[in-house]
Amino acid sequence: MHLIPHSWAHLHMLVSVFPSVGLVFVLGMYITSLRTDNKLLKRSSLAGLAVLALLVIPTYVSGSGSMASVLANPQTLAGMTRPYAPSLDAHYAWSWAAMAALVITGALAGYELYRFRHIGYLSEQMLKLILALGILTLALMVVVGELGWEIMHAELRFNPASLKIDPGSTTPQTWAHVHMIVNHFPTVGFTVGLAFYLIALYADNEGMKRASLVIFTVCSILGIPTYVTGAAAMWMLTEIPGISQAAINAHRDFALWSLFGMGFTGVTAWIQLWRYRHLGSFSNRALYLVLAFAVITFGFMAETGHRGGQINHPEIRVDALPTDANAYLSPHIENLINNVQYFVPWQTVHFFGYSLVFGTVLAVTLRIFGFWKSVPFSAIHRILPLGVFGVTMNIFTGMLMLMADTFRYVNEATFIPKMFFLPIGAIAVLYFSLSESLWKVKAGEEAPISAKWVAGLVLLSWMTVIMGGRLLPYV
Amino acid sequence: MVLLLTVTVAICVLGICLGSIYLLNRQIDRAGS
Repeated sequence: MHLIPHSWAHLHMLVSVFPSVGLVFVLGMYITSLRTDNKLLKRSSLAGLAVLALLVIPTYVSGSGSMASVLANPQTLAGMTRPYAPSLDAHYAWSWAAMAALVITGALAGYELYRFRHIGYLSEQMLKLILALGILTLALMVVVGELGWEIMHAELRFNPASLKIDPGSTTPQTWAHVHMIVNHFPTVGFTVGLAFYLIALYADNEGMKRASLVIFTVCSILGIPTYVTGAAAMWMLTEIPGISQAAINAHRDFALWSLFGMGFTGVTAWIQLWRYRHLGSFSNRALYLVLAFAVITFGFMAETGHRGGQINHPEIRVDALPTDANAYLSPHIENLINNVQYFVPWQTVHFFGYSLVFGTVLAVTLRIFGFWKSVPFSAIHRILPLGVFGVTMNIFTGMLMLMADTFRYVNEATFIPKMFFLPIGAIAVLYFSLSESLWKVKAGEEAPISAKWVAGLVLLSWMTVIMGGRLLPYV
Repeated sequence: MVLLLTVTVAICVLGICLGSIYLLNRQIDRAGS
């Protein structure tokens, strides 16, 4: 089982993402618990913070071990010129501050849970203090994470001119940088989401089920920028000596499976959130279907992450890297979809998809802006699945179209705003599905001002996504 | 061939999408009645 770490560096890569990226999700759950006053979610989030604080121990031990081995064996850097030392020192120094903040946060969370067992309630002031410390820890973790990624990822720092790379054959460094950051969110998010979801199913806590379903949906949406930035980063990575195209293709194949898994998990999770609004209950069978999809997808993502780590981390390799770049599915799909015969059918479905998305977005946002006031928002809420199916259709068809000519697409000027606003527009739609104040808007009533701002953002996002796509070949 | 593939893919995808939406809404209509 190659997922089991064979070195300190490997263990550090696996465990260190939890105190940093995992903290985003645990804090998200914690804030949700405070806003909804869900007692089980509060206690589970406090337990989550205490667990993250405990993970400081393996993170520190493995970090020290891997730092010693990297400094002692520069040959593990595979002959590449990697000015790692400045990032390494800064990463080590900042990690002390971040670890101290996390230990204090986790210790207070653990103490509060201990006190709860004796007095039966949680102190409001302590909960607020833990939240403030958690946010401070997160800010420190952002700095530590960024410095950590820069240690081994030469592509985040190198100057293309110094390697005499033809600018016409590479992609901007930003793609690789964004991929480095966003690829951890679906994997770590699914781990945290699964933990909370299992507790929610066991304790039959409706609020916690909803919060966990939101995590699955958001992580699935983040799968889109992860896949796209990964596809774009490939063109830059292959320009660096020592990077294997076959290893990248092995990673891409599983990324494709993960994207499909996230699509199924995200849609089934969102349908339950939508259904809950109308019926006030979940379908038990469907909740377990979401669990099955999430577990399978998590397996795909673990393998994808492992294969991705092999690309640029010679220090964690145990087995030899694959050498045959054509032994994988992705290059064959690229060849196939390049044929107009297979491209046009998916492009046609893509057009149907954005018609559905824009139609739904327009109907929902215009009602929020004050059109058709005689229609209650609960009636408008019924059409949301049309838009969600449209988004799902377009994720898969768009991904296939991207594979037809990735290099050209990712280098087009309008592709960046399209990809920037796509996850924003999709995540903001969750607000329409979940908002209590919006759900209560009856016939003849005005929507709250906050809803109007979100509606404006959603409308702007989808207009940019559609225009960005249409203008691809022309700007 | 392009025509046949396009029509087949479009009918299948839209059929699955609209069929799922019909089933979801039927559940809510039945619960409401």
